[in-house]
Amino acid sequence: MEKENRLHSPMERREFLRTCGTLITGGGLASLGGVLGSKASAVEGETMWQIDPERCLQCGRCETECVMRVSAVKCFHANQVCGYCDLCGGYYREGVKELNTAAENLMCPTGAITRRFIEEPYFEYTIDEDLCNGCGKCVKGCSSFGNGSLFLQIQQERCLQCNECSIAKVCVSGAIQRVPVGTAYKLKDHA
Amino acid sequence: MEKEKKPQNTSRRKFLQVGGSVAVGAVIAGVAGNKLWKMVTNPGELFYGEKNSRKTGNAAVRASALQTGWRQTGGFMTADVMTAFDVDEARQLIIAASEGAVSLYTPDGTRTFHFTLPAERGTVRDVAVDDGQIYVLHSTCIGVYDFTGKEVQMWKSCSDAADHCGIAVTRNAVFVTDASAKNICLYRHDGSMVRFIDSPKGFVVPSYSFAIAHFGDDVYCSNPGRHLVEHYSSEGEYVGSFGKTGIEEGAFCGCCNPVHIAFTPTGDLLTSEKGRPRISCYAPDGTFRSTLLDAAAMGGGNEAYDIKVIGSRLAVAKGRSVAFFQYEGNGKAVAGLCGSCTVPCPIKLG
Amino acid sequence: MRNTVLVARFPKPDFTSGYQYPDVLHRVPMETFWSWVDVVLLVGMMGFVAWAIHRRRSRRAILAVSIVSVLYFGFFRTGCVCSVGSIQNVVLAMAGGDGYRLPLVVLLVFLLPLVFALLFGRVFCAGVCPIGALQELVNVRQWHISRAVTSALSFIPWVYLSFAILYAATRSQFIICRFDPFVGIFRMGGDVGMLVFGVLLIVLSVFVGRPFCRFLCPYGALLGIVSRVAVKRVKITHRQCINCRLCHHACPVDAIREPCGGKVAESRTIGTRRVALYLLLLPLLTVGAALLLQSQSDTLSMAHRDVWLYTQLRSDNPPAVLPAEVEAFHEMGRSMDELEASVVSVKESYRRLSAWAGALMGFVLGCKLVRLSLKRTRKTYEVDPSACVACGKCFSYCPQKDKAKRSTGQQVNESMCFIKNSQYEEKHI
Repeated sequence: MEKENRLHSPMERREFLRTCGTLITGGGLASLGGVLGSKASAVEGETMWQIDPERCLQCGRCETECVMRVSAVKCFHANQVCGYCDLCGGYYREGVKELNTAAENLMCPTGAITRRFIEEPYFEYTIDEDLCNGCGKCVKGCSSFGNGSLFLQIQQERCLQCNECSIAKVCVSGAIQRVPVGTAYKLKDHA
Repeated sequence: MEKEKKPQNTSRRKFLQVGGSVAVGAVIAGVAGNKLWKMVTNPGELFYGEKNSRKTGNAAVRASALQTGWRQTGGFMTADVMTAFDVDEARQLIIAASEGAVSLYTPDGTRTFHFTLPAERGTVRDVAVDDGQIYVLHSTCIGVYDFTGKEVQMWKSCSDAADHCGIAVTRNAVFVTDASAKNICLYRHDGSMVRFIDSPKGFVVPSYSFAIAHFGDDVYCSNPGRHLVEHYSSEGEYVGSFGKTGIEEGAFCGCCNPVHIAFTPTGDLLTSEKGRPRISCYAPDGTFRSTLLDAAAMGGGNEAYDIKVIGSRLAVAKGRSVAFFQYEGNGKAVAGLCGSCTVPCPIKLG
Repeated sequence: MRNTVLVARFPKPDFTSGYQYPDVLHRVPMETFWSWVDVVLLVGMMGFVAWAIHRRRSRRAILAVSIVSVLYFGFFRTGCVCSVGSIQNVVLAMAGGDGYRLPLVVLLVFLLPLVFALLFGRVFCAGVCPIGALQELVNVRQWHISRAVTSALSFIPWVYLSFAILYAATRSQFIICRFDPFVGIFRMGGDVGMLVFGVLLIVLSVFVGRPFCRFLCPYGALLGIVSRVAVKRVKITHRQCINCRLCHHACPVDAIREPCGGKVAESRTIGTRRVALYLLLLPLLTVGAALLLQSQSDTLSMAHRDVWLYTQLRSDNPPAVLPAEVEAFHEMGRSMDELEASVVSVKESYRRLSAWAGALMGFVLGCKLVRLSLKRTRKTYEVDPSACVACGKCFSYCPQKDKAKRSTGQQVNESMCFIKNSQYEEKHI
């Protein structure tokens, strides 16, 4: 600061270097923005996590790995695919002795599946989402012995949309992937 | 640091400052360093270790309780996912049907030939080889081809609502099972319909598994909803049945089992189940002999594995995989797994 | 055969009682709407902080912004997607991962704090970042950590950044998300280890300012670089400065550096030789670290699921209880050939990228050494712009601020102002 010649004072030189740095950094940020902007998309880019029912193996991790206390994964029922059977593979426990609705005969640990008699021999099965914990036992039964009308999906209204889904991290079949917001569900709506 | 009047305060403050800095630094560097060390030396354990994911409730039965005397001795992957398969003993060929095509493989996996099927006929439900001809079963029609892929014959089922599941071809008849009509249709080789066969107890077919296989001129089919295997004569007369519901060996579990039936050269029946996949062996009169293969030996999952016998080996197929198993009982066989069976069965001796 | 894909096992029931299939509606939340609210609020709050710091010099404004940020970005939006994690998304997009389209919102969340840092300094860190805001709100005392320790620890964010880039570019892991100590607090649930660490950091930040921001945040490393060349910086005008050192002690991140007078100057030759040595060392460190990390690339590649799975499948000693992924591999009918091909390509990308990650770490280490050995010419108290998180604590302590307030007229205010443009400094005689 004591030098008389302002152009060569250390402060001016430092300021000059700094301005150069500012311009270079600014240019760098702008070009980075440009490159990324070309890869970015407002519409396609927005994604949510969703389970692909064709790949899901019902390992049970959807119940335990979600960061929320009650998992955002719920069992959905595609009525159009269901066979409406009395001996439902997702409703009754495997190897059940008596076909009544006693709790020990049912597959669902939380009693989230209820059934309603429609006509002989058809029953309509419904899932109470508030009770479902995403364990996938009914899905396993239905896909092993039934039509596969029960399937696990991430309920997007409950999901926190984490940047890295902690279930996706450990999904054994890699069934959880990012999907565009426009098709946030992978539903089974036909046989 | 400014100098205080009392040297002790300075040194104590300085000591605390330095000590505190080191402590904080140690905590942060420690945690960060710990994670970093794990990342660099053993990332697999850090990211995928078993302790990282909480125990699941659905853990399938892991350790196999079955000490099987059967070893996988070969296998190959087909080009496409199979929907049906059969083996031709004479030509030592595997005939694999997939979406829209039928392929022929040698046991070492080389595809020797393939021909396409008309798309409008739909998926192939079953395939059977008889006397140099390949019978391809679709849900509403049957196509007969020779080994050069030329269509020799085709006939439609008697009704459009038919949903065929399995086919068995004997010397003078073709038996086709129908899941929607819940009966067996008996045709002659020229395609003419003879009659419907109904089970005396009624066929209960909850799902599209209605297997049928022949031994000699007789056929055995499954009555999956009742957990029975039923025996019919060459003209479709009911002879008898066996089978019971249960999870234990020698019983059929779930809603509809067995899914596939095959025969050994000596007339023993092999059944393949789903849900808890396993291959079991029964005598022709229904006496349970033993369980040959369980899910762990075949590769897991809960869909049934299709089973056929080729020579002295078992051919087990699912998806794109065909695996061959041979019995190597010496010293390893446990009672109840072919080891204690007294039947001079060629696949056991092979 | 697997026939769930092809046919349904049960035929469709034919209802005779006039049963109608229920209508099922699966609603999708307005995530896009909230994302854009995030961006708007981000810009608004950063602009507000910039104004509060550079014009009003108000500490209270920062506290207000911090509270809003913790409540909105933290607890309401559960701290996700945050700017710190957006680094991974950006890297993934640049690596061309699996057709991943970078959401525009994430791009903005990544770039905007950097742009504001270029213009106004680290205004993002002040109270807008929910993590910083959380630490800011609990910070009561200022126990200073010795410069040696802070210098050493400030290397950690760069290591973190290098590994985050490596793992994101190879599409293996999002380690910033996995090792985020604070997201568990915002979500009120999560990995126990990280939650404990987060609480530990909060407790620590009561006494030590901004431990995460200074010693762990990878985004802070980037912001530090950019704010070093910021247009508008927090400065101390030495005309008003009375060397009371209150700001120096108040600053939670030790951004206010003391003058170097009163210390015995080193001999010029030794100093110059040291600088020259470190300058020479710089390329060696860069290349050395690159080669070192590349030599470990096969072990590092185990972070990728396919590579780990392949090792499990090929292992001679399979554990008694097979990992579920191994079972799933068989059940899905995945072919070994496809897995092998994937493993080969992953390992190849690791070989390339780990060299770059190592080079980055080595380069940063070398630069730090050079910077530490440069001659310090501070004659007055100065603010280090790369460390300053614009929290405004120094304003509230400075006794000269009141003097500036009491002046009349806008013009005079400017000249007595705490924050000034450099032209006014030249008037000092």
